Amino acid sequence: MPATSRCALCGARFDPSSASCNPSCPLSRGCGLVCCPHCGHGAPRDDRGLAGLLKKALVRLGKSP
Amino acid sequence: MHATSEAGASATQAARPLVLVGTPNVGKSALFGALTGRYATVSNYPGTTVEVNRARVQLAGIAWEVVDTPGTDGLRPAADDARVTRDVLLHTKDATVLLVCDAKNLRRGLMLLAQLGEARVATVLALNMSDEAAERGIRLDAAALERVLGIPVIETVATQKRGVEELAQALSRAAVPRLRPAYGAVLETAVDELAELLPAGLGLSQRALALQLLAGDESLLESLQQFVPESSLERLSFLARRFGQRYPNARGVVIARRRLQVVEPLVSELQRRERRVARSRSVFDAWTTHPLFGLPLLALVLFAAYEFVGVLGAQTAVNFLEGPVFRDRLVPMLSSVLPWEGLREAITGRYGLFSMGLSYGLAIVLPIVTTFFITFSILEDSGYLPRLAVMLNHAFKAMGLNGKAVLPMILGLGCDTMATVTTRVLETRRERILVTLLLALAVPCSAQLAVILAMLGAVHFAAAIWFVGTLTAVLLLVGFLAARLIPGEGSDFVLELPPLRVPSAGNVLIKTVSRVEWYLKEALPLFVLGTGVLQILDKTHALAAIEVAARPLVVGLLQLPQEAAGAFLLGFLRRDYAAAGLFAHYQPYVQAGTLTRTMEIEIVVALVTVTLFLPCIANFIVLLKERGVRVGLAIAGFVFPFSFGVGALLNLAMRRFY
Repeated sequence: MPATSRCALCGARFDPSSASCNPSCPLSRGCGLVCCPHCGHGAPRDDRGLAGLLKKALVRLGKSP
Repeated sequence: MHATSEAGASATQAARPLVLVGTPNVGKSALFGALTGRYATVSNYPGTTVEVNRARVQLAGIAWEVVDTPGTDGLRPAADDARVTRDVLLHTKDATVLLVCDAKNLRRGLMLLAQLGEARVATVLALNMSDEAAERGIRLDAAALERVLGIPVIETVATQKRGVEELAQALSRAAVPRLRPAYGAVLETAVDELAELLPAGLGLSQRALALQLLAGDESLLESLQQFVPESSLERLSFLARRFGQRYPNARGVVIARRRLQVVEPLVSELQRRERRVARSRSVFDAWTTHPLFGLPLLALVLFAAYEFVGVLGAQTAVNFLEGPVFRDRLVPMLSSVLPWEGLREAITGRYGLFSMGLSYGLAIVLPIVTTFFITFSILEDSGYLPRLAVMLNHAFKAMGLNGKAVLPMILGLGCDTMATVTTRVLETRRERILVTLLLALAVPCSAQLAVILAMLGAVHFAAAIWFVGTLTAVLLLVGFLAARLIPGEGSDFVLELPPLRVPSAGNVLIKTVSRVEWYLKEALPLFVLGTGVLQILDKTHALAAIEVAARPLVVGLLQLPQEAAGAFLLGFLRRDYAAAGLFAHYQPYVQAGTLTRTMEIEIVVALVTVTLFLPCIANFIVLLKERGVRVGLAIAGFVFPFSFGVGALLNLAMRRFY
């Protein structure tokens, strides 16, 4: 099952790995933002780095965010 | 169930066409990925999934050629990408359609299903996002729907692959939906007249094609050119036009209303909303989005943010990190171990990469943005943020601004650069330019909002009101002018509101940490780079020359201290960096309680001027890319003189009336 993120603006669930904000953006390489495919709200990826580790830990503890 | 590659598809078994159809943003692409194992773009953004994804797959022992189409509200396309969906269906004979419907919005899905019924297409209905529907107290009777519609109806959660196996099994039972709206004698006669001229054996029935033409779908004639003789095309065009003259401006509405008459009773009968959920939310929901009653709540939220960010973040945390930690310990400690004077100056001097760049980034901005991000995450997770967007939409509409312009403005509160990219959804070049300008001028991004809140926490409440009032006036003025230049086209701001809820501590923690990580990666290198530039300018005496050159503007016009020129220079890189420079300049006075009335005026004037700057260097690059070099430079050429002009007027007004 792919990891999902929930958009903070509209509540839609989406796969952050396939929701880069704009592939044609000149700054898209290495961009840490993802955009909700539903409403376009942008937020930093929460499935990587320290946030990703925290998320996994919470899921393991049964407190799925 | 397993997917096979295109090349490796079963050669012995002809694959049956399976077309995924649905209204926009219902999870078609996620379901495509769940069915085929190929995870394509989850939905149609940005610019929608104009490319059609295909995959061959074995589902429940049958080979399928699965096609994922762009979202559409009907077979009469309103945009080019929706036309792709219509044409895929038109050109695919004997297709099985998997209609993906948002379980939270059955009505919208059934409106499309009615058209598939008219088109005589074998269909399976997937009620996707059924978990979210359940969370909102929406209960659908799938078994009853199946009986009434005469097609398989499966509840799914595509992102979790729930219901996908059942869906695969159900595909072989696909049938033509029983929804068949009747259109009355006049329309039915017109349908029959057109249907006679239309070819049979296409993916869509003659009746469905006739209805589209009568509804005003002129693009369909182009798609039919290869199937219909020229003379028949002319006759079809004539008949459709004649019908249109009979129902000017409303023929599509007449047809849609008839479909709704069939769909509405089904929705009422088969969809249940739990009163408990609906009632508990409705009163508070109505409050939060009301243009007038929502204001006290917004004021309360802003006050709480002001206290949390301005006091806890900007005073308690910054005072500790900037003084005892950086200035008193880390900088002297680092300075003592650096071997050469030149290196010491470069790292820990006045414009040192550590003493200024990292100190600004980690000791001043980091605690401020962290407290702000906590606040922002709470607002997001509670579901209040989208309600704020709806409330602002009322305000923008009152200004007469086109509804479509609202979303990029709201998104700008997160990141102006990303919001600038989303302005491409606007229809005309003029709209895109004006919304980009509004974004650059008066919509501070989250990081800048944080430092602004922190700065305003240091001045009297009346001074903060001057700041808010000036920016609101600028937004209203530019918005008003924009509204005159952009005639309202009746386009609406559509945003589905998630339920209000008590924020989850885990969610708030994850969101805050991810934002802080992103901020450190994005902003800190620029802080160090900016400091390096300042250092070089200082070493070459260019900074002093710039300060002297800028003196008439900074000291003469804005009546700010000469050092503010340095902060404005940083503002070309990031507005929040400039605000941090101003913060560092006035912080000692705030701490000592010796901030004067003149200094408060200086803070508000400088803050307004910097806020009206272009947001950051990344935004400028995207501006050039999205709007072109000429327009991008023109916007920048307008923004900088405008920001200094507003700052000068504000300075005059505050010195007289504050």
